[in-house]
Amino acid sequence: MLYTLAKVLNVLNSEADPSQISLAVALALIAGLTPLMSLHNLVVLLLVLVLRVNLSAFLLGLAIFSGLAYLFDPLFHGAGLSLLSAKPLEGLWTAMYNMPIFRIARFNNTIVMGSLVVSLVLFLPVFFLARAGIVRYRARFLAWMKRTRLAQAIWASTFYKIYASLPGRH
Amino acid sequence: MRKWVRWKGLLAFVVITVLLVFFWLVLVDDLVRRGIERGTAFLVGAEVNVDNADLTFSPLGFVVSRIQVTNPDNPETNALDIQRMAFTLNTAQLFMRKIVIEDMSVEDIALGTMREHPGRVYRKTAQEVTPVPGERASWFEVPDISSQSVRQALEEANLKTVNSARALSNEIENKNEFWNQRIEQLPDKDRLQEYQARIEALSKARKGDFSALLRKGTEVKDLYSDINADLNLLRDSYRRFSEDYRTITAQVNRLSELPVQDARQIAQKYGPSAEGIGNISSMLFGEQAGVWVERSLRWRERIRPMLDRGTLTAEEQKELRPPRSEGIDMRFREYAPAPDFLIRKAAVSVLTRGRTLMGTIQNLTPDQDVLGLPMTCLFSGENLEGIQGIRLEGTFDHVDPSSPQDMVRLGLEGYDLGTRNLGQEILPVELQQGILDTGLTAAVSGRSVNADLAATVRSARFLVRRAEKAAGLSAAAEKVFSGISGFSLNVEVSGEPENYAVNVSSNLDDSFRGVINTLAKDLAAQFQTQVRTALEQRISGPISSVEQQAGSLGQIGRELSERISFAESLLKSNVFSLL
Repeated sequence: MLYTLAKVLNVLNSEADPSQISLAVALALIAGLTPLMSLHNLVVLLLVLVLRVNLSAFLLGLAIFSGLAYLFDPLFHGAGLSLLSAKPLEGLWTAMYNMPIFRIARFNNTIVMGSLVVSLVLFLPVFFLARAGIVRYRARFLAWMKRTRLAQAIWASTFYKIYASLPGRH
Repeated sequence: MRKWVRWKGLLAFVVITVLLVFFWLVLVDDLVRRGIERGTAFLVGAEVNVDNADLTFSPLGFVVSRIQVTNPDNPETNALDIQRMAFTLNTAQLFMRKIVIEDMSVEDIALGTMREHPGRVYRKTAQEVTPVPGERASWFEVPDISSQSVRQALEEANLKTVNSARALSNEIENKNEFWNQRIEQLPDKDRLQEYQARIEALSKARKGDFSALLRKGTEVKDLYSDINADLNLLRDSYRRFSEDYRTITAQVNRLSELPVQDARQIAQKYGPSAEGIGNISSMLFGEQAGVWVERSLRWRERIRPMLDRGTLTAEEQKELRPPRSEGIDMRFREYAPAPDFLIRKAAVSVLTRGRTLMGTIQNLTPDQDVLGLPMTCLFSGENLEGIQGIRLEGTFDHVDPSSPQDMVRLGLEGYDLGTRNLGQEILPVELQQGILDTGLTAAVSGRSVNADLAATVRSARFLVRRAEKAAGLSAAAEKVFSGISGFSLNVEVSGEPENYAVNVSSNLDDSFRGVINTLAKDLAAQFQTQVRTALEQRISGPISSVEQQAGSLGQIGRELSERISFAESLLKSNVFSLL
């Protein structure tokens, strides 16, 4: 737990661009909320590797969102079922159903469809919220924090030693 | 651009993708092995073990070695033990997530081999067919003519004797009551004594003048008229009473003859008959035929999930539903519909009786309605151990799942029957040898089961063992069987899977008709005697009671007779003496 928290702080406190971190979180949202072994996650992986996003933030986000995904499975199933059963979209789904690429992608699975749509809808809000949050954190909270007695105490603690020992910190 | 793009990442992506494909290729054999185990186990309802599965690329397919399918009814054995199975997959259909096996070879199937460890059983399909052995076991029965069965027959019969005795008793009682009342109203002895007194008074009267003579004459005339009127009344009553008494006496006499008639009727209705005993063909082959039908229906139930997805029960559908985290795969209309699973053609070899039985199975799929073709199979073999030739042909048409039609034709030539115990306890017969040639056509259409088997047995030899219960029958059967070296046999099955009738006939029935008729006649005579004895015991009380009642009625007749005699004597001797 301490290690995870330390990693979060490490990422937030690093010199990395807030956009790179928030994009990593947004991509982790897609990969984490949807079933990992899905075809679209290969595209996510390609983006994560080709775009200069923060890999630590992505892996951390993936772990967190994968855990959350199990809690939200009933929600995703309901959303997917509603979308796949929607009469106006039937033609679209039928056309996709007859294309091998979409069959391999398992778009017709209620959880794949539900989680993918939910994560795509949340993608931009998460990106911008995360970015704004990181900027605010660095500008205000981190600067204030450094001045507090609590921070002084923390720097002297075991937690700080773990934090300081993380690779890439120095 | 450089700030956002990491070109080395592309290389990393390629490396990761290649590694993923590599690991998939390494793991796919195991995935397929487990897939076969799980899929087949679901269909069969018992544990399935696969030793190994190997992926082949050109053409795309798998070679699977040693598949053991646990027999759900006997988990220590395998229902099927397949040494090797190879198949090629339709690659284009695979991209559509469909498993279409174009060609399959299944080699060296053995049936009923022992397992190293008992397999787990998930579902007992055998229970889906309810056997009714109790009903069909009594193909041939020497009826029970014990005192208990006689008592039961007497209870069930509406006995004429008992009813007649009751009715007669009531009638006698009514007549008794009537005549007792009537006799009170008729001139009794006192009244006749009065006539006697009047006669004596008149005889003592003095002979006087003419007028006295005239008065006496008038009194004598009056007395004569009075006695004559009473006498006529008594005679008329006696005549009517005699008619009643004759009727009652005739009824009482008839009552004593009724037990014989009742016994005859009860024996006819409840007693043994040749039809009730059954025919010898049913006794010898009926039970075995019933077992074959049950077994066939059980196997049909077992393979039904492979033929028709719609036959899965709600419980099985629930089993099919994926876990919560896997969701549901929705289905949409396909432009070129294809079954999710299809084995288009499978060449099968079955090791049995020291030889190989070759066969082909076509269009094996649970989605026949999508494929539009029924599953067919054809197996044949020659010179097997104990069988000269066998040919099994089957069509399982579930194209319209609401009205499935399955048909099997079996031809068997030169089947060595070996030694078999036939018959039942009453007549233990052993077929010591025989060669069977047979043709069977069986069809299950919707809820209707029909099967027709025509067989001939040649080079037959029987051994009849003595049965304690029917030694006479054994002796007669032994004599008939000793002259039989061949016979024909027909078995007809019709009805519903849960309730069907098996009708067995054979030319053995003609040979045994005389034996069965004699047996039935002897038993019927014994039964009738027992019924008569029991009946006579039972109604001896009511009959003697009726006879007593009739006797008391006779008292009235005697009384009337006495009064008439007295009145006549008064009239003849006493009144005329006055003149």
